Amino acid sequence: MYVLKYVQRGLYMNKNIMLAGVGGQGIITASKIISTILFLKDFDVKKSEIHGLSQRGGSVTSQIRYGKKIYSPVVPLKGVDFMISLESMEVLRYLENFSKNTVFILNDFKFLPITVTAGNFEYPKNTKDILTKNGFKRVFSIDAHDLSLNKFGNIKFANSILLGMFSNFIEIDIMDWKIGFEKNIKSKFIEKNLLAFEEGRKITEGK
Amino acid sequence: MAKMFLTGNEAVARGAYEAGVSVSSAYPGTPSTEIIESIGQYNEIYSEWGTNEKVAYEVAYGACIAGKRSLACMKQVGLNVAADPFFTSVYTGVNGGFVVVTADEPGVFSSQNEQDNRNYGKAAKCPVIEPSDSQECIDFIKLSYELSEKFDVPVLFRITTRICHTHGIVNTSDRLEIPKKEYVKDSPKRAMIPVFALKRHEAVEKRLSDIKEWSDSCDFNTVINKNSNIKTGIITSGNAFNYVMENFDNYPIFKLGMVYPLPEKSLIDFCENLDEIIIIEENDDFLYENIKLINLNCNIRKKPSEFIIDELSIEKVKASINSKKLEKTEFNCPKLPPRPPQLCPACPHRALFFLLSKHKLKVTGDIGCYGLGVLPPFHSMDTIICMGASITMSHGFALAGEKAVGVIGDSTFFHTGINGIINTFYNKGVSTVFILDNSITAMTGGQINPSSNTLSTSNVDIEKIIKAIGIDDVKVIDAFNVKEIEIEVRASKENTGLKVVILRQPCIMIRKEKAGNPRKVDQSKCIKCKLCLKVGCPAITMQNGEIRIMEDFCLGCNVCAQVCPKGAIHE
Repeated sequence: MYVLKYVQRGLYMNKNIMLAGVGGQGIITASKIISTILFLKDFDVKKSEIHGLSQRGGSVTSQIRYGKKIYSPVVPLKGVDFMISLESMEVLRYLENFSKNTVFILNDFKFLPITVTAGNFEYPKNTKDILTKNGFKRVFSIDAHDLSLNKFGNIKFANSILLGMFSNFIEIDIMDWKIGFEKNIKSKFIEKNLLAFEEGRKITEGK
Repeated sequence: MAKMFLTGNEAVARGAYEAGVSVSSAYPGTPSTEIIESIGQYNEIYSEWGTNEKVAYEVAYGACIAGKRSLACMKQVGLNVAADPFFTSVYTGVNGGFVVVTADEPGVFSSQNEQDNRNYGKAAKCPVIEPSDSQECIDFIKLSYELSEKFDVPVLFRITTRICHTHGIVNTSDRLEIPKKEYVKDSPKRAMIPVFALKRHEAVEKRLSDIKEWSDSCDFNTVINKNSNIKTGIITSGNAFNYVMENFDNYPIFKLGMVYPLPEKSLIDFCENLDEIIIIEENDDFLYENIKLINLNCNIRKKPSEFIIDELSIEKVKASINSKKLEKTEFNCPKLPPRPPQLCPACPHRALFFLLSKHKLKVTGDIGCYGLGVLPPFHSMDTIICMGASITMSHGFALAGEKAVGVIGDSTFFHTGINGIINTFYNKGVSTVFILDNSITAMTGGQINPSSNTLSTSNVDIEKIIKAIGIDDVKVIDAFNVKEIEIEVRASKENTGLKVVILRQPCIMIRKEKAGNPRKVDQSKCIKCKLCLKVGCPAITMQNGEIRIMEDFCLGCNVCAQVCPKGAIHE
């Protein structure tokens, strides 16, 4: 049997990243890119998500925690430092996880759920306003699908734009981001994704 | 020693590789599926998808008795199916080491119940191991094989969704090459006729008490902060340990890696200078119930009973230890539209569920993607209990004077549906059974089954099986053909015998090309009756009062066009 005398307390300084979106939007790849980099930077990292049923177009999240030593795979309430939402209203499902300091990277793109198209529910009017009303003010939002379509002729680069927007808030070199992309994306798509990443980076530069 | 970033499932596979495992089998089931998928990368381990968990268990166990280290994996309800060989294999012991992984689901993300399989360990008198992270998945699997061979016993390895699907950093090592053990016939030990079984029960009891004694010195359990001044100790295991460490890492903590049998002496020793202990565990009060039986000289507390339901959290653990209520923050936010999961565009299950819903039939359902038939817009499943129950319950409904159609998939048919259909036929039952044959096990991410066509496996034709049983009333229909399916759905109301309708189209995950060109809505013909929305296709939406089909999503199955009363949907 192992006996550990004492664990060192209060030195963890852990950071928590949460990604939210709709099953099929590429949330797992986006969160893999981030976690790969953190792993290579020698942080302790845990990345947690739920597979199975919800991937069929339901609400999905991925949580990444990094720092000196990570125990819980799940972020504590009010504990999210960075929230990346790949869809507009999905961010609103997790309000109890945010604090006044949470930085929001929000794709203000509406992916209408069946409950809205069938006319049973109304899609929330303005996600950013709702966040602000609840005291969450560090919100950086853009319709990344629209931007991706205009710049690259396809909506597939929206997530890379959002990662670019996020990159200004975390101390990771551009070179490391490049490695993260290279390790998780098919080689023929890397160049365009990095361009989209740069596009996103411009949006939050100096913020 | 290489550093890697692995999920718990990948780490179990890695642990099996390093432990020298040679044979593995499983039936896919969330959250356990990726273990066997990940084992696929190791050429040294033979792996196969069994047709059900009992089959998978017995294949792996056969290899164990013949002399090789082997592994069987399943989700929590899978162990119900494999419970038969599981209980008796604890009597008959091992030759090569044997581990069975059960992946439990606190929080029920992708299952039909929230059973806690630690209880199985106690019921079967089998040691239960519970890791807390990916590193322990590797280390404990290796230790489990040592335990298995040392005590001649199968080992139940319990992981949970958060362990299975969390990536963590691990240190890996090389594979240990384990030579095959010699096989020596020993019928009194392995052929369980009653007279031998009673003798073996004696051995089981003796072995359990030996393991209990050994557990006081085993490497599965850890004590943290033994000399702390805090007089409240915490006993915990699995992922609950991680939640404890978030806020109470200065408390004396007994982390159990082996949750059954319990290390009595060490626990008594741990509690010696404590005023009280609190037991933090996910789901059932399994540890609490068993620790209560030990004569500890201190007060024993447990989590509030309502936390037996659903997974634990950092906050629930904090509330339990501090004896406080959970805090809830109110927000100024409109009620959000739910976003239920949906059948994919061009899913071959769509047409049938639309029709079952339209004709308001009673439906006994089964486990798989077609479980989504319960949800809007279909609302067309009356029951979902377990693998295979659609066919048998449909027969039972008829016996009680209610007619219900059974709906089952191909993988589920081979799992246990096949037994049910033979039963209905030979008992002259009345039932219409729809078999949705998409040639893959879809919900778990696309694993092969006997209906799949691959070079390394043999294909089994469902239609031939049904006919071979003796059922003459069999039809095979294109799953996208609304008209023909509707004829069968209608006919089921008047059916007086056993009829099997096989609907066939591949799952979109294995489709090589689109079913057809994307469809469009002719707005001049559309009367906005919204009938096409009732097929529940993610590609069809209503925006600004107009029905639209999203071209990027549509795979051209044409079901919506057949449903449209005005012919407004076309290529």
